[in-house]
Amino acid sequence: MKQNRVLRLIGVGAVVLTACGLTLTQIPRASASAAPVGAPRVSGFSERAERDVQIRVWHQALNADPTSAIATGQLAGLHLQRAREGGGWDDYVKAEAFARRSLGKRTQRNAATASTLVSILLAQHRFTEARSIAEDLVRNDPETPQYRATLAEVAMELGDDVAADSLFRSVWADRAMLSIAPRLARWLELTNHVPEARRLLISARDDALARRDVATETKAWFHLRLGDLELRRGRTEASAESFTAGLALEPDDPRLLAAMARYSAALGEWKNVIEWGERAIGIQLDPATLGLIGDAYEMLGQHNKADEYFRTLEVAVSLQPGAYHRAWSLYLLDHGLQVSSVLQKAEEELRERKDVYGYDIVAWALEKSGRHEDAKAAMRSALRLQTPDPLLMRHARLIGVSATSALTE
Amino acid sequence: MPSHKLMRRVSRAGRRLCTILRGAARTAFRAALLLIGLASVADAHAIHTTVTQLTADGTGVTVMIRAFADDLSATVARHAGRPAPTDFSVREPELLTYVRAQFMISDATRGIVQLQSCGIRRADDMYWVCFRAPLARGLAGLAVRNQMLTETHADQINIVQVDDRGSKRTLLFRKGSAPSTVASGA
Repeated sequence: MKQNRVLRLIGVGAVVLTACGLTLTQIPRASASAAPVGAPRVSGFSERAERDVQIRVWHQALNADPTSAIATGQLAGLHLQRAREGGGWDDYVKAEAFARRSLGKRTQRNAATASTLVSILLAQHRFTEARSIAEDLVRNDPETPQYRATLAEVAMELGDDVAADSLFRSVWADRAMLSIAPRLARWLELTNHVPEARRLLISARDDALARRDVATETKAWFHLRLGDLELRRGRTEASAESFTAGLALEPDDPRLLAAMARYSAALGEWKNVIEWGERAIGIQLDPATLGLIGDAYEMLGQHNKADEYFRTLEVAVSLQPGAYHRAWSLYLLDHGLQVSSVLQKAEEELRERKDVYGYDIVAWALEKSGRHEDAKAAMRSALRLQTPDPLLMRHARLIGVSATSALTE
Repeated sequence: MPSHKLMRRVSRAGRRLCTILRGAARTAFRAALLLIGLASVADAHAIHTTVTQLTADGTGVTVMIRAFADDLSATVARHAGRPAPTDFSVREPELLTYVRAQFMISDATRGIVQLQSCGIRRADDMYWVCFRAPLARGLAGLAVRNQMLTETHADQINIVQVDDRGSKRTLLFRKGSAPSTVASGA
């Protein structure tokens, strides 16, 4: 038995070490041979081909030892990372299957895989399941601040402000850690501490850029986060600088291209909105960007073209299970589309997830449904953290609720 | 060599390997916290889409269709009357027949433009299908219709991005969409 285990371990090790060595020399060739001459890259992200090779390598390791919790845990993480780098929905499904398989084999010394599973579930907006696993992580290892920050993030997304506040306070001393800073920054922004949020994000971005063990996609994501914060504050030049710096790292990152479309919309530069937006959807279709491009065509007086985008947006979201993405819901409501359906889905979501943006959607949908008093009550809940977001302020103003948070610093 | 000595050597090698793998696992653990722990709530939704680049040059157009392997493989197999392959493979003649049935370019006289295959490649979860059509008059009067995979997903969106020597235009297709003219301003 023991001999078999040793031999299996030798087999897995040999496969991984050999394949890892090969990976370093084969990436360009694998990438080049994968597509016809003149074909675009696998996706917009620079390290996507590398991720494909890593996944193949760990599959070989798994074939050598089908019971390996390490190999399945690694495959879970790699599929999740590839999903972030433009992979399909299938990557999330595979990531979850591998994570659960790994945890089924071993829960002791496998917290990294549990942490991966939390991220996979968060990405799919399965917050209650994510919370249960994050709670286990903290229960088993309460001293690790990253786990407390993970649980804090889940609590924040679920609208459990008391738990989120308590957990985020507990990681304040560790706020410089790269896996804590962006989560804490988001909480600071939500609770109207924007200068602190900005400082934290800038410091974390600089740290990420200096490190060699951070994926280029993630470095670009820090620029995106900072740019988005600046855009919400109306600091358009600073946001453009951040998005542009991100695009210098990942020129085809659809999230950054869509962000440039939002920036152009803030300036009323509608032709640029179309140009950036169409580049973004050419890499990865996001219905919110379809809506933005539709708005731009509308502003330019090209109503037929705008209609084409509006109808495509409706089809793209029509079969989505569960709650709509918030940006899609807002777009539909702003254009008077599917108001009752959006309201129903948003109210259903609110039963589980009571965060301020959930209340904002419900408030806006109620207002669009003519239920003005109900809309006011929901809007007050949306403003409970005094979140200084122009979107919330605009809805509050239109619904007739006084917003006390300051929009200027 | 006596068997107990051989076993001791194997055991020593095993322990060394265990140490290496534990180190690798620790590194992987740290990397997981870094790369994945950073992930804030992402926007993961199953959006069904294909993206086509239609590029014009002086002699004709090149059509490069990008589609997810699982959907394309299953749909092509169904179109050919076969069960869906579990490895998401496609048979080239069946794929070309399918694409020519669902992706069409017509010229100014409404005649169907013949698409000549210029390669099919798969990279993990994606396929690229390349076609070439010689066109003496460029894109003038051309229309495109793309109904690929709409029989599989009712919410399928097909994006065709046209690049006519630097001038760009995007066409969107849903299930049942009519053909769209290619040239801007047409």
